[in-house]
Parts: sequence; structure tokens; C-alpha cells
Amino acid sequence: MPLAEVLRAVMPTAEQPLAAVPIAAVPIAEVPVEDWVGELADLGPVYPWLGSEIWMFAACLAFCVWFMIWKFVTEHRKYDSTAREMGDGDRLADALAIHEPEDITQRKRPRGDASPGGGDLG
Amino acid sequence: MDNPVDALVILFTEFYYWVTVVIMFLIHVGFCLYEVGVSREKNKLNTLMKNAMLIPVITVAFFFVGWWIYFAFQNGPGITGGMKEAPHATPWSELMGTHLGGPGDVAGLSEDEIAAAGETNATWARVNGVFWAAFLLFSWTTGSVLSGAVIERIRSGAFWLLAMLVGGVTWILDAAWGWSNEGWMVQLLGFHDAYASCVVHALAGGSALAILIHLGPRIGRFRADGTPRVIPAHNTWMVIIGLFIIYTGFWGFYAACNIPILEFNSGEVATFTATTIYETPTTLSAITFNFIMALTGGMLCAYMISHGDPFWTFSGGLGGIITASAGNDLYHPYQAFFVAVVGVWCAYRLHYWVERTFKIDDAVGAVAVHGYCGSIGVIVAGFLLWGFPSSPKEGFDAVITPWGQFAGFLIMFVGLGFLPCFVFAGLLKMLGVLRIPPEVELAGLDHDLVVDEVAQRLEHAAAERDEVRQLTGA
Repeated sequence: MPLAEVLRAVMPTAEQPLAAVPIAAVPIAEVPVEDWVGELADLGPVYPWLGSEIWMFAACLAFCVWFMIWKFVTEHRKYDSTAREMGDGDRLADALAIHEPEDITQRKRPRGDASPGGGDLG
Repeated sequence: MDNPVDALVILFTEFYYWVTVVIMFLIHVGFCLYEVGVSREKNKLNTLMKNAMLIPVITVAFFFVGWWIYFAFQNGPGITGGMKEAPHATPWSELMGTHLGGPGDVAGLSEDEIAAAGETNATWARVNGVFWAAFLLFSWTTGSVLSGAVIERIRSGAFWLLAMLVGGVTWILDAAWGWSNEGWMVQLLGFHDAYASCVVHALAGGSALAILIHLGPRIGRFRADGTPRVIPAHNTWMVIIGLFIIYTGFWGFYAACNIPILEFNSGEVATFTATTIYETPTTLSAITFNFIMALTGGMLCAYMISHGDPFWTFSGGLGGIITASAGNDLYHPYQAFFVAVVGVWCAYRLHYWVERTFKIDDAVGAVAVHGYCGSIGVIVAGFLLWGFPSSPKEGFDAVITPWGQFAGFLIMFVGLGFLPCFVFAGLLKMLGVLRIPPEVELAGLDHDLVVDEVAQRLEHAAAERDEVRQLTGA
């Protein structure tokens, strides 16, 4: 059987919404549009779960609040632990040493070398 | 859409704002580069993430409340009227989702009621998202202004809360009051700030200053005698490229401050023109002249007073644009040029005076470039545009004046910028969650990442050496 016919047989349509449909494809709320034929100007909102905006808002808000709480808690723990770890002065000195700048103004050219441009700058 | 011209205007507006949003995104790219470049090697990844994550946190705050505040609070409320209906801007509105403009139940209102309020589904279904995004990009800008000033010692969580306050509430409240065609400040004070000198920049600068007071300077920023030490940027190229990219994004910012084409009724004659947010006429040609001349004046002045310092020269270009922005819809290019020169000169001097006197460590000069330039710009506009009508709307008879502009500066820089952040940052400080511990600051915010990365490299190198031994049998 050609693939197109298989798909036609299993996929739902507006007239036959549940015909041989895998359970995952069953819409959990009414679909706000039956087809794309007709007057476009008559179509209003077309997203899924129309009418559930408040719940979606509440879920998004809850997630964002959870994110901020998670951030404060983990950040606090991390900084506390680093501060304790660094309480030992040697560890802190070692940490500073990683990024200690080199005083390149004190670099000396080895005597007798040619300058990068080939001439003798001395 | 009653006729083809209306339909064309709406579709053009939709596309116009969409394009401005894409260009404005560059502002944030530039701020990220700029800020990371200014930070020290030991803090660069934390600085990047602190700035980048203000995008999602401000976005949700703006989706939840910011957009609604802009429309609902234009009368104060309680100054020129009550709360206004804004059914298209509530976070649960159908018009905040995919909507094709046809009839729909908008927050309980019938289509007739919405049409009566002059807000048809047909219009809002197409411009709501792009208009929202244009304002959201301004919100990110306010957050980025704060972000640069406070690098290398603020806790990210605290910063994001402060960014949500400014980007999601205070700046958009001042926009409702003084940067909308029906705001009470426009109606009563004749307030005029066409390209957001004060509305965005001064407010963000005032907010940053308040946070900096509580936050304190970075360790080692001031000598024992109180004189400041310079903490050099770890990558000056990144800083300069970032500022160049911010310039680029500002073109989008300027375009987004306009309403692209509006039927402008002057007596019996109706013409189509670009307008400011106040629906006063201007042209893209005029603002292009003025944008570039302000950039020019700012760069020349900053180069001169800083003796060619790259950081200040590029920041001066930005400061010049910000200073002239309040009146760039009406200025002559020479006026934009000299306003920029004055603003940048004053901001540069003020920056170092405040730094020395109050020991304020503003790592990127954000308070100067945004706060001082924006404030000076909006006040200067009061003198240069003195007597110009502020709005074409009936009942909005107040003309532009220096005192109206000065009142606007006080309301925005002090009232909505400085004070809320001073209180909120003070609260966070009291709770001990504003600043990182000194040990972490000294070791660097990326210390754990650096240690992990070194361990990962060493482990991988050891694995490779083992592989070589197995291959060679050594």
C-alpha cells in the first residue's frame, strides 16, 4: 500500500477525528479551526488549548518563580562553599596566582639576538 | 481593516516593527561583548551569563505585567483618569497568542466593545507581538545598562530580580506616563522624549546608580587615599567591537521609536507620514541626519577630552546619540551635534567627579553614558524645543517647556529610576544576597570553572598519553 494511503487511513480528519488514531494524537481540547478553507477574516485565535490561557499563565509563572528560588538557593550554597574553601589563605593566594599579570615591561631581549624586523634596535 | 489602505498600513507596520526588532537584537549582542570585554579574565564567563540570562528573566516579566502596564497606566492612574482597559495586553489575552484577527472572546469583551475602544482584533492580532517585542528590546537595554555597571561583584540572582523590576515594571511605567500618545506627562507637562533619552537611558542610569551605592566598589578599586585605580579590560578589542555593534543596533532602536506611517490629520488635509510615539510628525530622513551628527559630536568631544582613549571615544559616540535623542525628531543636525558635545562633556566630567567624591565604581561608565547623558539631553530639549506642541491630540495642549522636561527628569531618573532600585537593592543587601563574598570576588567568579577545566584538560591529556603508550608498547 502506498505510504500516502496508509497515512490517510490512520491520520484523523475533521469528519473522522478518532479513526485508527494512536492515542498520542488525540487532541486534549477542542481544535479551534476545522479547515483552512473559507474566509480568513472570520478566524480569531487558533492556538491549541483555547480557553486555558489562565492555567498556562499560572504554569509559566510557577516555573519562573521556581527558577528564581533555585537560583538563589544554589548560588548561596556555591558561594558559601567557595568562601569556606578559600578561607585558608594559601588557597586564596593560589587562586590569585592563576591570573597574576606578568610584568612584560621588564622583559629583556636576549643579548645578540636580531630584532623582529631584522635590524638592530639596540 | 476597513479599506485597502488601512490594511496596507497595518501589514507594513507589522513588518516594519519585525525588522526593527531584528536590528535591535544587535544592541544586546553588543552589550554582551562590551561587558565581557571589560571584565577581568577571572570573571568573564560569569559576566557573560549574568548579562545573557537577563533576556529570559526580563522577557517573562514583560510578558506577565510589563505590556499591560504600558496601556493600563497611561492616566497615572488617578492623575488624568483611571486605569485603562488593555484587553490585548493581559498575559492571558487571546491576542497575546496566534490570532488571525477575526472575532474572538477578548478577555470577556465583545468585538463591538473592543471596536468601540478603537482596538480592533484585526489591528492588534497583527501588531501586538511585534510592538511588544520592540518594547521588550528596550527593556533588555535597561537591564543591560544595569548589568555593565555592577559586574564582578553582584550575585546573579539578585541582579536578575533588579533587572526584572526595571525592565518589567519601572521603565515601562515611565513609558506609559511619558512615552505614549496618551500619557499624562505628555498631556499635562508637555513632556517630549522622542527617542528615549530619559525614558530608557536616564531611568536605567538612575537605577544603576542606586544599586552601585549599596553594592560598593570592587575590591582594590580605590587606593587608601581614596583615589581610584583603573582595572583594565581583559579584552579591549571586544569592548570596542561591542560598542560598534551597539551603534548598529541603535538604528533599529530609532526606527522602533517611530510609528512608521500614520494618517496625520491637519485640519481638512490628511497626509501619511512617519511619526514619533506621540504621533507628532517627523521623517526617517531627519532622524538619520540627527543620529549621525549626534554620534559625530559625541565621538569628537569624547576623543578630545579623553585624549584619544578608545573606551571613552566610542562610549562618547553612544553618549552623544543618547543626549540628542530627546529632540532628534525636530532638531537641525547642527543642534544634534552640539547637544551631543555638551552632553558628553558634562557626562565625562560628572563621571570622574562622582567616582572620586562618592567612591562609586561604575565599571563601564553606564551611569555617565546613559544616566547623565540621557538626563542632560531631556532637559536641553526643553530649552531648544520650548513652545513646540507636544501632541496632535485633542485635549493635549501643553507645549514643550524646560520645566516640563525637568519634571520629567525628576520623575524618571529619581522617582522611577533611583528610588525603587535604592529601596530594593537595600533590601537585598540587608538579606545578605546582593554581593558575593570577598573570598569569591578575590578568587574570581569563574574560579570553579577554571579549576574544572584544568582538571578536564589534564585528565584528557593523561588519557592520550596512555593511548600513546598502548600504541607504541612503551
